[in-house]
Amino acid sequence: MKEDALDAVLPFVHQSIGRVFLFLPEETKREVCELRLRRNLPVCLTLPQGIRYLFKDGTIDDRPREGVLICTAEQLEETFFLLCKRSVYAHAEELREGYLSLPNGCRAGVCGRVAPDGMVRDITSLNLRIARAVEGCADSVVSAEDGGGILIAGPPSSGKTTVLRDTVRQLSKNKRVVVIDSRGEISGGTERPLSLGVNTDVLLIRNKAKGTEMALRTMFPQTIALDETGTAEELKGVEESFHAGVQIVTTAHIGEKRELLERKITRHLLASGAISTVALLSGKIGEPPEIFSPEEL
Amino acid sequence: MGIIKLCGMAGLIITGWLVGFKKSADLRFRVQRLKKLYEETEELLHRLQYEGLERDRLLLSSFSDFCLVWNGKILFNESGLTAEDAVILKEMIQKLGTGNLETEEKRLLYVLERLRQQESAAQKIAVTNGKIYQTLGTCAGIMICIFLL
Repeated sequence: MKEDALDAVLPFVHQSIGRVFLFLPEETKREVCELRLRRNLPVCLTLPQGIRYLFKDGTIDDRPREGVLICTAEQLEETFFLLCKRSVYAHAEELREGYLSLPNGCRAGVCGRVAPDGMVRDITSLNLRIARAVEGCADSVVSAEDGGGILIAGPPSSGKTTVLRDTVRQLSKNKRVVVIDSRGEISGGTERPLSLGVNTDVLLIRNKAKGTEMALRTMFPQTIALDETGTAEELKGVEESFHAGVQIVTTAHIGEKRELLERKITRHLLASGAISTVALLSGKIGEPPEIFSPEEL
Repeated sequence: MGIIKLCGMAGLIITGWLVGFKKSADLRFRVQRLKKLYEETEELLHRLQYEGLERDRLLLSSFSDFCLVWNGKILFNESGLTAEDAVILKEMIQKLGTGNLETEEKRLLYVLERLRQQESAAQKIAVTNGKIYQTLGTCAGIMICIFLL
């Protein structure tokens, strides 16, 4: 049986919580998008249907009641150390940004007290995001592309990275693609990489602007893909790539369509000419993205 | 008959000396092990500072003489160490990886200081008690010979 992305994350969860997942139906396991652990509070799962509470017998319900699985402070702390592979010092940079990278492109968000050195201490919540490669989810995006840049926009957890990953996989059939991956979410990292196609090179680098520059100089790409263009520096990198004749595929956090022009970064990105196709995700499961060109806005 | 008695006496004296020698060799072995532990802890600190490896890889690459990481569990090798030395070793490894780089450095420097003290104390014990044990062993052999005669 093929291992699910959730199974790749469970070894990092305290065993008394992880054990409960053995009783969870396979169908539910395949749908889990997030696993949320909060100190002395019930364990929550985010499913396409919404938030569900996990019970000691492996059942789930939309409201907590007797028998709900509570994550104790010790279990939360142990899970945190497991996520860090018992090496907090080795993950200091990630912790300063409030997350920890996991295999398969999964990621754990960390909440707690932010110390003066920027590290998150006294952990109060962990949010384990389960990344899955969905082959074919970018069919409509790839069929609409005209060789110009692609912007995949949508609200948080709408599947922007999943669509980006599949776009890269499909584009790499005919093009040299370089993925600038700042958190290992697109590629799945080096330990257990996700499929990004045969013609894709992955540059794991925290500074995406620097990564774009490095890729342009050394890898001679036809397409550069990067997640979340959010800073002026990254925007500059995108524009430079566009002027160098490289196709850009990127994502942006957007609540609604009108925000594409309201948000400074996306407005500049669209005005730069680097984007010729916009794919707007609604966040609803199974709903195809809305495809349009920047001129239609 | 006299020759047999003589050989027996010599045997007893040599056995006594050997027991004393073994005891003093144990003391010298402890010094060597503490020296090795100090060196490996120093290497661990350097690797932590310059390579930033994760705990298990760090232990495998620079601490292989004293512990083994097996399926996420740590197996300790305490041979040649006293219970007091073993506590330092275990405490260090159990706490390793729970803090940021600065905390880890401070903690390892403190462990190095403790190991240096343990080593110099062990060195003194090995010099003084080693001779005593050898002498005692030989004397005990002679005493038994006299007693049997």
